[in-house]
Amino acid sequence: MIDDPAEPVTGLVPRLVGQTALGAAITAYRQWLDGESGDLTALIARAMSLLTTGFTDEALSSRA
Amino acid sequence: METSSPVSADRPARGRRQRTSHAELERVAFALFAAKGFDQTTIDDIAEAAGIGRRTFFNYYASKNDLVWGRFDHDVARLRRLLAAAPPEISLMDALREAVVEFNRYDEAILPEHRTRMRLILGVPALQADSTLRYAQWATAVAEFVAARTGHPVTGLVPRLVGQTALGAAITAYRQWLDGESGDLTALIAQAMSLLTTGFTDEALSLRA
Repeated sequence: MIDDPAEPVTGLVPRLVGQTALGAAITAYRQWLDGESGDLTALIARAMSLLTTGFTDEALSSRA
Repeated sequence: METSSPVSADRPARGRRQRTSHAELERVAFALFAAKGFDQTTIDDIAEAAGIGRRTFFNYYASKNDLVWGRFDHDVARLRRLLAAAPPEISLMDALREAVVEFNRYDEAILPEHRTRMRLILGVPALQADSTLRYAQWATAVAEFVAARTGHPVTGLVPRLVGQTALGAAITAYRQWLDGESGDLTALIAQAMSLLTTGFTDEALSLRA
């Protein structure tokens, strides 16, 4: 057992990650459906990576 | 000429003033929802309690569901103005956080009604279809702001992602707020939006702030 008790799943952080990961996946699917081709898993990975690095001006303006 | 309603809200100048407004109609309706439940309250109940005819009700709202959301078009236009007014020298997410916080800042006196409204919006299954449309409008306003700031097309991944996740952050903050009897709504929104800005690093997620 880990010493620190887990944050309750009704806490802001677990809920936020759940809700925004869902939002990221939905966004990636929309992008994928809009294009005739495109790599679904790459779009999902990119959206999730942006959540990890944070929405800095630099990250948001990147054309990668 | 429509004369069937006992007190016409459309002719306020005559007799005792009974001018209805969106705010007044919502106040009356939310009191009924609290007393007898959303599903059990009819449009006739609301119209009667407000002293207007059923037909006048429909001058204000297309449906009972519509009333719950209030004048949301109007609200989204305000969000757009808040975003447009953000100083260009502050970062995109600082501008967005400030606008979203401001958008959700309510007078102490209105908070109980706002709590009832949001409890319905986030809790009543019958409202979910209406909610989806409104959420999309809100997220689009954010996406357009992000597109303008970054030069990405509005349908690009980044503008859509920021719109969708800012919406998710606001909804999460509302759920937290509704779970607690008190708690500062705008502080919860600011905290959720700040986490989007810093990113979901292990360190940020483990903080007990």
